[in-house]
Amino acid sequence: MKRLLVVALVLVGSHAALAYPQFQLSRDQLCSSCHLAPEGGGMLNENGGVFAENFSGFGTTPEFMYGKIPLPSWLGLGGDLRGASGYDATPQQYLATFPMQAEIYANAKLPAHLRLYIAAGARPAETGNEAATHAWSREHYVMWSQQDDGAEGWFVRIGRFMPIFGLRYVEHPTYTRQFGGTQLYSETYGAAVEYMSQLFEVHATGFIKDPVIDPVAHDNGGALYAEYRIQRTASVGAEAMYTKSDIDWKLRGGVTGKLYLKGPDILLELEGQVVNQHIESFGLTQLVGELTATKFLPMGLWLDVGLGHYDENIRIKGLDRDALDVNLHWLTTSHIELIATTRIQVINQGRTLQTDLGGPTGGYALFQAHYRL
Amino acid sequence: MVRCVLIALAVTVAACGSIEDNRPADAQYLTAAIFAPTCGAAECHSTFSQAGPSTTGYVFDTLVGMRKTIVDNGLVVLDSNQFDPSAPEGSVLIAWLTKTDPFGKGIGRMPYDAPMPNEDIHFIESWIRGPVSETNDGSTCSGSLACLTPGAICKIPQGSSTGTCVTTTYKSPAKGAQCNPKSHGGLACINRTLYQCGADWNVTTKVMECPGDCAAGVCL
Repeated sequence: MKRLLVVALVLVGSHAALAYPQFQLSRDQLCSSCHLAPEGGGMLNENGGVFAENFSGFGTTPEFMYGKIPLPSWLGLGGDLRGASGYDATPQQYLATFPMQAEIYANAKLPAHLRLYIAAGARPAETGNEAATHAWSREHYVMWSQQDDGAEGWFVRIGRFMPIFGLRYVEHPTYTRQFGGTQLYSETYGAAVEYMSQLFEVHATGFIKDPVIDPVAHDNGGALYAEYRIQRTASVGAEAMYTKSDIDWKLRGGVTGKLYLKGPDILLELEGQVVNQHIESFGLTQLVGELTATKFLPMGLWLDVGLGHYDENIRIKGLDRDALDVNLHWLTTSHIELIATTRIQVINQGRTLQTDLGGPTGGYALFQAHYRL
Repeated sequence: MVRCVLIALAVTVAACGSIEDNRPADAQYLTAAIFAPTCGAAECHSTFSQAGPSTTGYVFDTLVGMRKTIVDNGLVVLDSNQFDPSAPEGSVLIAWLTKTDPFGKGIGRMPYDAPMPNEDIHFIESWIRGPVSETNDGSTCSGSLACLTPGAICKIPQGSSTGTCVTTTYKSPAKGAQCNPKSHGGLACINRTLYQCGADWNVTTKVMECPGDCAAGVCL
């Protein structure tokens, strides 16, 4: 008999919004055209609000709290609330309901092209330390930009944020995030130098293990990501990351690519990584990849179909996983997004070749609601 | 561009693997390559979510956390009266990875939504078992004639009615997470042998062979 369980805790995992890379090339050239952060994610700028209004099914005024709260010109506020409910298969099935995100963003413009950005809110409490860990600031940094409110030029940042790397999907179970160096809540302290232009962008980040809290990422290191737009509808990118922890060091290298097909209104996205991990004197090689096709539909709808691949050690059979993700997003208004997200994951391509190589199939089917303040 | 996509896809999708499993069966490798990415995600068994000072959480994303989790929560037990290395599939750790709701708590097979490959589970079992050596003490045994040497078992060849008494020595089961130097006076059992625990959670010097069972750092 299938067990039914309602889980009111973080289970499949919270989201901390990164970006929707699906909109880059298909709707605009740069993440920074719509977001305050050059790599996207978090708070929208004025143009991002206008885009949300125009793209969504029913529009509505996009400002913070529908513009009902007047703010001084130097201050911007925003926020995201997310929750999900649905089936989780391990392979037995559960009904899971859990909060994902409750965060407020504040952006203060300072003199001399500086701005202070803070994202603060709820976090999963640490067992045995609940009183001190219900709330936190996931991101806080000071950023200098060459142009005030501009999407292009140089950006320099110091503070707590996610190292800029890869395609940066909002869906953290995506293999290229989960196993690709930017897993959920792996924001940490660092400094970044970035350059954005219509033709290309470059991001260099140096980071350290968070010395303040019990962290998710236990590494010090550096990341490089560069993207070159061959034409307005196609780009190629390269990525490299070095990380060193107490027990291992890793070198990641990879490529990204995007191709927008105007006629059918489809965006193809690819990210592939080769990871070289060293544990004591033993070295191994991993592969991490994601191929996604996004079909844009009327009324603020878009459909993502993604194929993820992760091989934990390419020299040993039976350690590779493949995931098929199908996500249907509906931006109903400027502030409300509804998402049906499903995944099926197989091990060893779902085959049992010899003995019992492989493993059970897992997956989930969740309904997610997202409200942008 | 399309060509680039196809080449990258071919490289990415290719599932490789051809040689024998040569991975080092120790706590450091297991933590870095298997437990941290598979079990130690932020919202699961991580330092971030379970390393609070007032609890014995389940932490798999650091070496120290993994050792504490395995030993202090009894996920692998080395006491002689429940000696998991002789049957690793019976350990609590393996039960969580392979069985549906193994302890009737309404918590299912781990990890949620993304089961661990069998090849990794077998590798964890080989770590729990550790290297093994067998000593034949020369005495004869049968179904009705038991071995006299403590810990020896009667190995009867197929088709024969009598066998020989064999003592199996588990050289370093669960290497790297064998005992907590701060509990039981820094002593721990590996089967019927009492050891001193080192600062690295490995056993160090042999204290004594227990005449009978050994549990919780004491010869019984």
